[in-house]
Amino acid sequence: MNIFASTGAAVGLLVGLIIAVIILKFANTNHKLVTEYDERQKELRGRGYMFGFYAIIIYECVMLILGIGKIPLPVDDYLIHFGGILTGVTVLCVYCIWKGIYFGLNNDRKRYAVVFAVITALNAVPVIRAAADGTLVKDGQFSLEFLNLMILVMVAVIGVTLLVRSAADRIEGEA
Amino acid sequence: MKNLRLKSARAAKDLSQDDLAKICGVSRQTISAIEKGDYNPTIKLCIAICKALDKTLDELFWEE
Repeated sequence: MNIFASTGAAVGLLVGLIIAVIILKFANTNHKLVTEYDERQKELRGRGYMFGFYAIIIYECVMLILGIGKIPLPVDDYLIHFGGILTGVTVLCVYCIWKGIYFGLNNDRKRYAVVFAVITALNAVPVIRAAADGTLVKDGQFSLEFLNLMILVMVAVIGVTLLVRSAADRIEGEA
Repeated sequence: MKNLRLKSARAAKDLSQDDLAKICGVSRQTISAIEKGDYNPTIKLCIAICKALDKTLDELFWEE
């Protein structure tokens, strides 16, 4: 048992939450915390949450099956749980973007682009450092930096979806 | 079914989808979806669109 590690993680999450609140206030044009959506966006986001929920259920079932069979995975438990969260969030984001909900009504696109760039940089630094040191995998297990790599993969998937969908949207134009 | 009457009423007012979306307080994609027939707006949004385009609900949304 390592109570210090758990306490550190809890404090880290709280600090992350506070930073997220500040970032959201900065990234919204009216400096409100909550992003505003129109009626169609709300409806589609609801469906997106449903698919995200199903994705987490499927992910957890797969992990349950692997756990019952005591099939070893090269990642710690906390990374497995984090993978579930990321899976749900990715499905929600990809679905919403694909349905044309890139941004809320009060989102400043340029500021969000800056936020995404900062998130990418903050997560890329530890991954690059661990890859350079050869510490991304320790004793056959992925290290903490794998968490950053998972976030980078999610950001990449969302970014590619956004590029493809916005390109298709441009081609369709006002047709 | 495409809503060509909405599209022509918007064009007659020389408004882009983005302009109309801003007036009605929705996203451009929502106006596009309504024109394409991919989304059925609520009566509240229908009224907002009609007011913006100086049209009646019948003129824009009643199926004949």
